Amino acid sequence: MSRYQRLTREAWRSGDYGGAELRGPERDAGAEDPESLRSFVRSRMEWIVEREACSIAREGSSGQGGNAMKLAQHVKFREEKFGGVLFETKSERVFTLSPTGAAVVHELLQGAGDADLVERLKTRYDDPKGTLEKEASDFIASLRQNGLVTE
Amino acid sequence: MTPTAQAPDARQVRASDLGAPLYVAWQITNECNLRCLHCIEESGPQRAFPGELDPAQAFSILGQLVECQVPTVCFSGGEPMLHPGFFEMAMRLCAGGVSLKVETNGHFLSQENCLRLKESGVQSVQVSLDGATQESYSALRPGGKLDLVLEGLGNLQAAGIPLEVNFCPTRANIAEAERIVDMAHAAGATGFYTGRTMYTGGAVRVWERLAPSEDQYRSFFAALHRKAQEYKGRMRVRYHEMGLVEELKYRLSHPAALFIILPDGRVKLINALPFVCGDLRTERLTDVWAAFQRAWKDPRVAEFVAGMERRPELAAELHRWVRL
Repeated sequence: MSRYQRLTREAWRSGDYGGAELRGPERDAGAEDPESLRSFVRSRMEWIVEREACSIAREGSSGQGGNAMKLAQHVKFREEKFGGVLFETKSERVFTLSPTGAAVVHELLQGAGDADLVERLKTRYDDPKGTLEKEASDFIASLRQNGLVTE
Repeated sequence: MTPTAQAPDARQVRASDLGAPLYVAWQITNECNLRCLHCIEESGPQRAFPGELDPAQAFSILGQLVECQVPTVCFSGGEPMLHPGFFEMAMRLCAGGVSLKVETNGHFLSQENCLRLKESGVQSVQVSLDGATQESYSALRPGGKLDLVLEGLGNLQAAGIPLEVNFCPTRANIAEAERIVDMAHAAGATGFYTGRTMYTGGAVRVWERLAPSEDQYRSFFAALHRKAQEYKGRMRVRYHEMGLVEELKYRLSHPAALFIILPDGRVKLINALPFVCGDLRTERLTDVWAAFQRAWKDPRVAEFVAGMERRPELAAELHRWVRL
């Protein structure tokens, strides 16, 4: 076990992530300067905390709204006056989007999931017939079918 | 209000509806190590334009391409990899989210350069492979080295860069087409593109000995049809049977959502016509795009295309640029 592993294990046990000095027989193991080791461990801990915080934020944004989607690898989106275009750059296929189609893609890119997409769209569009949810769902299915979005 | 996504053929998207091109073909230099007989740009050694863009001008255009969210840009030439700023320009575009394709003659695809292409984020590289043997290859590309090109294809594959192959049919190589499709697939190509050799640029001077006969074209397209079936799902085999004038006539009513940037920053409507609609050294890309749409409606363009039908030799004038 390396000194770094011992220090992290100690930190895990003690709850002291400040990089307290090792106690007992572990104190003398290795020849590294204790202060620099503490500093090293602290930086690693900060990095882990930052990474975990990002993961939680990501899970939170998709978890609340359902499955998050993104554009497939070679697909580019651009908003246009008539709505928007999706351009599949490998095959050079172009998909023209209606204004609401572009709004759906825009919301997907903003992190909207299946569940909260409709709510977001309702803030922009009236839904007098109550068909928006089904239409959005059908539209997303067609995007999936054409390989334009991935989970 | 129903959200919809329609997928017309890319050529059917009306350019006039778009705020910017969907595809920009940028001839970043006219310099080339080869002097190919059929070259539409008549590129070659010492053939760089006198006023090719300096770094500040080139990076200004790169910035505008990113800002306008142009989805795809293609670097061509001349030989684009001879441009001193090639990799820096490639990195700038890719970092800005633009999908970059490179069209090359394949003579500079060393292991090191392929790794740099990969690191830059280049989406694909299209290599011209115009012969299955050194003899047929160099008949069209004097001084070209087929072995070097094939080695380059291997380096691309090793670096994990998607490869596309382009083939220009001539009397010397048209019978090898099927074999070259197989070579392309063996080299890991994802696409194989070809069509009729255009009566324009350098090809005009040697047309009699270059151009395949109609019988040869018939066999050629039949072979390509077979190959397209054979490689279905594994490699796209695409070919345009339309001739140059037919293509241009179609474009008059259906301009593609793409334009051509010349090495000095001027912008052409399409390769095979001499008309220039803007200059990116002095004009903004969005303004040039608006000018591009007006230019296709200029009666001089339709007159020129109609004239080509009567006098095919007009195609030799594509480098006598006319500013619209």
